[in-house]
This record gives sequence, C-alpha cells and structure tokens, in this order.
Amino acid sequence: MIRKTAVIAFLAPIIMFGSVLSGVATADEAMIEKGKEVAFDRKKGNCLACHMIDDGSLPGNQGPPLISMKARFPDKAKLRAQIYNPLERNPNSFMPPFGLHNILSDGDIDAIVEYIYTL
Amino acid sequence: MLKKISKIFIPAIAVLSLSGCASLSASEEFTAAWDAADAARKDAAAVGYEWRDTGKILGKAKAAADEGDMENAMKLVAKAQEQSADAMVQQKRESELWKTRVPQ
Amino acid sequence: MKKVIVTLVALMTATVWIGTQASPETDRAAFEKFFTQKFPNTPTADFVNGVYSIHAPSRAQWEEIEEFPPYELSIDAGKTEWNKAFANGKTYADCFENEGAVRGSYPYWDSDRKEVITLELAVNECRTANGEEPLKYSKGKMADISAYMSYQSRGQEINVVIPDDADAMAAYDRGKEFFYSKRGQLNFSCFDCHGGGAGSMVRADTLSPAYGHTSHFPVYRSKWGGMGTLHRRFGGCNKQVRAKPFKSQSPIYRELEYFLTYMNNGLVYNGPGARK
Repeated sequence: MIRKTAVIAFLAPIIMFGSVLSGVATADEAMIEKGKEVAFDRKKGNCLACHMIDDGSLPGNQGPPLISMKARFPDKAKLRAQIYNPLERNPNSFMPPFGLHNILSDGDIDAIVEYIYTL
Repeated sequence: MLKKISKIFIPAIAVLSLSGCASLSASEEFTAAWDAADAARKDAAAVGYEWRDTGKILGKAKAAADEGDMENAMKLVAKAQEQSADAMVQQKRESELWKTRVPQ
Repeated sequence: MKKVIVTLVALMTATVWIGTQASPETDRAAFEKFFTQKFPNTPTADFVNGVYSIHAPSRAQWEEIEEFPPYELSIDAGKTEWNKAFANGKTYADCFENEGAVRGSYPYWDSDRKEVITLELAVNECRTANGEEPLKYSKGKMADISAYMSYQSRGQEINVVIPDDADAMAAYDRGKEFFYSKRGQLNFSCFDCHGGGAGSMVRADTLSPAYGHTSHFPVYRSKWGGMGTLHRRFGGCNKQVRAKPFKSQSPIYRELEYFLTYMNNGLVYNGPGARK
C-alpha cells in the first residue's frame, strides 16, 4: 500500500518540471507579465509618461530611465517603498504616491515591482 | 387547527420581521456611512482639495445600494471616504511645503 | 562683549527677516531668472511663445500653422459679436474703449468689490448690465469675443499693478500658493510640470514653461478642436492631476490668473494663440 504522500512527493517534481517545459507560466512569470501591463497602462501606472522603460514607445524623460534596477535598489523593499510613496525620500518628488493615494492597488504595486526589478 | 397554524405562522412572521429589520439596518448603515463620506468630501472641497473622482465614486455607491449590492456599495463608500481623508492630509502637508518650492 | 553679540544677532535676524519679505516684484524677478537660466538659448521676450520658444522641432511646425492660423475664424466670429448691438441698442464699445484693445488693463484688483476682475468677467458684466444673458466662460462665444479683443490688444505690455491694499496682496498670495501647491490624487503642482518639469517630455509632449503662460490666451487647442479660455485650461489641468476642477472665473482661478499674469509683467500680449 503506497502512501499518498510518497506518490505526491514522487510526482510533484515531474509535474512542475513538465509545466515549465509545457510553457505554463510560473507564478513569478505571470506576475512579471502583469506588472508590465499595469506599468504601461495609461490609466494605471502610466510609468512611460515619465520614464524610459524597456521596449516602451514614446517614453517621457521627467524621471530617470528604469535600467540596472537591481544595482540601484539592492533592497527590493526600498524599490517598493519608492513606488508606494516617493514623498518619503523627497517631499517635492514629481512622482505620484501610487500606494499612499491608492492610485494602484497593493497587488498592482507588487506586480510592478517584480517587473521593474527585471530591468 | 388554529394552534397548528399559529405554530407555523408566528415563527414565520417573527423570522420575516427579523430579516426585515436586518435589511433595514443594512441600508441604514449604508446611509450613515454614505452621509459621513459625503460630509468628508465637502470638508475637502471647503479647503479646495476635493479629488476629481470622489463624487463619482459616491454616485456609484448609491447606484450599487439601489440595486441591493450592499457589499460593493459599502466598499465604494469606504473608497470615497479614504480619498477625502488622503486629500485632507495632502492639504496639510502642502500648506507648509509649497513655500519651499518658490524659486529665490 | 555681550553688547557685540546682541548687536550681531540683531543684525543677522534683521537680514534674514528682510530676505524673507519677498515682494511680488522680487517673486517676479526670481521667476524670470529661473526660466531664463533653465533655457539660456531662449530670448526673454520669446517666452510668450510657450513650448515653441524652447522646442525647435515643434516651433517649425507651429510657424507653418501660423501662416493660416486656426484661431482666425474665432477672431472673425468675435468681431461679428463685438459689432452686434444688444437688445437695448448699446454695444460692447459702450463698455470697452479702443475698439476692444483693452487686454492690457486686465486682470486688475477692484478695491471696492474686493476681487480680481478678468477680461472675460468684464465681458459678461457688460452683457448683464445691458440686459443680455451671460455667456459660458470656457469656450464658444466668450472665447470668440476674447479672441477678438486679444487680437486687437496684440503688442500691449503685460503690466499688472498690485495696489497698496492688504486684500489685493492676499489675493496675489492665494494665487501664488495655488500655483506651487501639489493637489489631486496624482499630487502635482502647476510648478511641478511647468517649472521644474518645463522642457521635459511627458510621453510625446514637451511641457511648456509657466513664464509667458498667460500672454497668448485664449487658444485654439488642437486637442479641443476649438478655442478655449485660460480658465478652461486651468480646469483641464486640474482634472488631469485628478483634482476636482473649479468653475471658470471662480475666485481662486481669477487669483491664479492674477498671480501668473503678474509673473509675466514686462512681456507682451500676443494672443490669441494656437497650441497642441
């Protein structure tokens, strides 16, 4: 009588590996994709209005280009904080307080952070 | 016979009137919350800081309540209330900060 | 020794106090300096051309447009309105001298009424004083009449005089505070985009400098597909930062116009204008 847990433990890695091979997005990839969508959406992040980002067209240049993000924000939490409320670092910042003013939901901000962190 | 009927009807009436009371208080709760959120909106307007969408959100809340979707209605009222609260904080913050930006 | 220290402290305090007693004229000089330093290749007088004074590619396009300006129809319509008599037989010429070339006299502080009077406000007061219905302030006939009067007034110097009146100063200060205060869910001040952000791009649009802003209104704005007054643009900008706009010709917008026009003192009226 094979234990259920043993079967799961045996099959799980095969299933996960299989899902990657079959092209099903992992949780991370899905989030990154969502993050790019929200960032580029004019009615949501609209980040291209002020930042050069990746392959985005007609980027603005009020803010710095979003490149080398891991180097610029070694602490991911600090990147999230900057998007949530840029006024903490600089009360005169041009950047809208996306979290503080509920411009974006927490979920949207989390997704954007995952995307931006890949740049 | 009467006893049997009353055994069904009296509890039934009780349940009906109780549930009637319950929905009355839900809409009373909504009205109270909506009125408070609208008052907050007016406070923000009085200092010139009302946000663009707050009134619209309150309108949507009323529409949701009229359709009986109380959960959504209360969510929208809370959203509107938060907008006015954030606007008041913004006004206080700016009443000091604006001077620091004037070119010298 | 104590006397020396006390005197020194008193002198220092006095210096700081004088430094912080900014007058409108010191404000204006600092405002002009901010923009002329930011855009050193733009001659001061050219700032009345807004974004075209700081962005060569769009200037070339604009100069072409100015050969057949889109606001010409509006000037013609405004002239027709100007010449039409009211029901009581009077005309706008009975309210405004110089065939309408009076833009240089507005906005001004009315010490009796204790408010800022703008050109558009005065046009409607002329109408109602003569038994006519007031016009809406943002576009349509009012924009046409304003376009005609602005065209007549081209070349007049911008010279707002703030009378020696505490209420007038308070109005100027309210306009000034409005200009520099962040507002709306997006938390932008006018100065964010048109001061520090002037010359930068928002997507494909270049932000215009606030210096010279009120010289060329009303404008034909391509985005509107028609004419609009200065207060129409104020409202639009407020909406864009997700702040609830104020009504055209509301006191705060008139005070903002008062402050902004003062900042343009010394420049020249060149309206009506054409913009994106």
